[in-house]
Amino acid sequence: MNIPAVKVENLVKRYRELVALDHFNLQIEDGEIFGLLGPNGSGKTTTINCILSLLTYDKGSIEVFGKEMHPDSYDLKRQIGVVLQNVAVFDELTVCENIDYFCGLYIRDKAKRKQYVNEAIDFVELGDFRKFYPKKLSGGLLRRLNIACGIAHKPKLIFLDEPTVAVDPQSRNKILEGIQELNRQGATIIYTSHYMEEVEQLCTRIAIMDKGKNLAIGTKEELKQLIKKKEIVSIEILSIPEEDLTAIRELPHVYEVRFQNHQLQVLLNGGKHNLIRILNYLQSKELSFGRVYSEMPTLNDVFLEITGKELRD
Amino acid sequence: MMLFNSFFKIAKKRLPSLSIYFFIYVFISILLGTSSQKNIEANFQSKSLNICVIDEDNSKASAALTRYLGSIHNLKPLENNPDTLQDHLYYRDISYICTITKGFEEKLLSGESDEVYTCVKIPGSATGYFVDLQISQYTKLLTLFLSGGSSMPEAIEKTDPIISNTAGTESIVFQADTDAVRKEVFFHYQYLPYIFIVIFICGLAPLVITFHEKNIAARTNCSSTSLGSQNIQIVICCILYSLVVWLLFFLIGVFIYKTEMFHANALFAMLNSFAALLIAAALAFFISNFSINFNTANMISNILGLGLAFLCGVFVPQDMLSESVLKIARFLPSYWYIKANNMLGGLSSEAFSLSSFWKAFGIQLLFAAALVSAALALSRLNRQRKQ
Ligand SMILES: Nc1ncnc2c1ncn2[C@@H]1O[C@H](COP(=O)(O)OP(=O)(O)O)[C@@H](O)[C@H]1O
Ligand SMILES: [Mg+2]
Repeated sequence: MNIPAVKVENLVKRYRELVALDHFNLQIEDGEIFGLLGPNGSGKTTTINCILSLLTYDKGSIEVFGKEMHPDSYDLKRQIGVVLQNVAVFDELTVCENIDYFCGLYIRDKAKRKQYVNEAIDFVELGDFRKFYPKKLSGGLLRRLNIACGIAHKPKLIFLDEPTVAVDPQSRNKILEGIQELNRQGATIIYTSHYMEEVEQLCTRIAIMDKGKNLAIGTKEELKQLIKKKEIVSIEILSIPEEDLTAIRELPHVYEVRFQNHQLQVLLNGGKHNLIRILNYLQSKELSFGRVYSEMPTLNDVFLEITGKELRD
Repeated sequence: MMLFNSFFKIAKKRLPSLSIYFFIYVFISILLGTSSQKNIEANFQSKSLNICVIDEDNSKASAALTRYLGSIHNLKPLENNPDTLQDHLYYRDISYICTITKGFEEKLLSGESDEVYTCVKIPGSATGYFVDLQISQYTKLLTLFLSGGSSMPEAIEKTDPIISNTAGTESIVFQADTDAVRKEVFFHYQYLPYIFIVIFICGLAPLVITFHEKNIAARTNCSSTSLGSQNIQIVICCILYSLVVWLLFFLIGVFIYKTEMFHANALFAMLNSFAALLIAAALAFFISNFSINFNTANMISNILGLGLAFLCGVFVPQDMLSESVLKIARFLPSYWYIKANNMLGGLSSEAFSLSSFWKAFGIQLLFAAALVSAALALSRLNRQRKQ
């Protein structure tokens, strides 16, 4: 049995009356890209900060690589890289000097550090901006610098807390590709975000959290299995009589039918040939229709069903 | 030593915004150096003073002492009336009044040399002390010969040649010791509390704050560099920064005043400035607990620096401050700095005494210690609140 990279048990964290983490559990295996998905204020940052011993907590235990994590667990900290939610760089130091500083907190050897810094700069593709000061970088480049500062020392375990907030799509893709590359090179990644598309695209396993609780955990397929909705068919129709809607609701696997804005939505809980069956029915009633879509559920649907509210803010 | 390196890298990049204070200071310092050149010449010529001797004893001994003082100074015959004498002293017609009290000779004959005369001098005048010394030397020598068995005329005869031989040379030595150090040397030190406060609060505090900034500190605390090592590096940086600033201002002094900076009193002034340095550093350390930016630091430093400077007599002599202001000023460290510096440079009416210097110095150290303890308590409070 492999030792998990991170193991959090029954973590409780209070900010005065507010319970930010409520008996939170989490286990992250070596080699994963683990996604922590939840809306703003759900406790993602608090979780990360507790694991990193930046915050004290009220109850529970945290283990990293099988050892209990403390503020002075410097041998564990040596193997960890962090990219926190807020950009943390020195305005007075250049791109190169900033990466060198943060890398130097882990690596004393100058020659080795120089090599690592150069590799990190190449990795985030900031080669043309070595001598730039952070103030002169665009939002996306600044985020990339922030990431380079966190990973230059080649950590085995990397925490990234919403690294793509306020980033242009091009930089965002670069960042996501970079994270996958780090994972291929052997690092375990813990990634938090409130963008479900990102998490869906990137992560091998996902935990959905809200109000300090871990609501569901698994691969995206497993998560989608958890909910009733397995398929959603949308059809453009000018108008449809009420009795036809009732008839469609009686078709196999259909559990809900909505009609609004000339759009018919049929929610199904599994089965095959659902689309054909619905279209056949419409044709038999000689109802003309326009465009047709069939969609699989998203993590947003998972979140919606579990919590009863939208993930998007 | 990553923190250490970056600390000075950042300090270097912030230097331009600080250097303006530096140049203002050098400008003021040189301006003062040239404006009061006249004083110095006057001081150098004042070996021979206008003094008044009131002889109430009318004895051989009192006549001999009067004769001796007359051989060095200009004796001004004045009426023995306290009011007129005070007036003359006040208008600087005379710098010194020696009253040889009745029973002078008798007391000397009985071996007493205390309270045989009284003297009044212009407050704070260094040459006045020189007259004190001359009188006490003369009477001590007289009593020495009297106790050796000589009669009064014999003793006077023996004393006169000895004292006139030594007096000349000693007066030169004595004069070299105080008057050769120009007052400007002490003006150089006078403005340091203000400039230190500005340099430390605008320079050092924002630097420390940069490293304590929430996000940077979080990232640093995630690293394998221990908290202890971080703190030690920052403290070493602060100490080095302070020493560099201190040395810099001393070197400016050496550049302008040359060897005068190494005279005894000037060295005491340098020691005094070290206390001011500690206070400024402690103040910066205290302020670095609040996450303020450079502009706010600039504002605070000017309010604090100028406020302390005015209240404590950096710009206006302490002698001219009202009693109520001085009452408040006593609770401020700069007051004690200026008091000590005035004393050393003869800039006030207070005579130099080693004990009052150490007192002023010690009080400043206590202020610094209190500030550091307050800062430490505050940073502990801050850390607890963050969690
Ligand atoms: N320092 C703090 N003091 C008080 N409440 C806080 C503090 N930090 C976070 N919170 C609260 O804790 C909850 C979780 O916050 P956070 O972990 O930052 O969420 P997320 O990262 O998922 O957006 C929020 O309700 C937030 O308001
Ligand atoms: Mg967050």
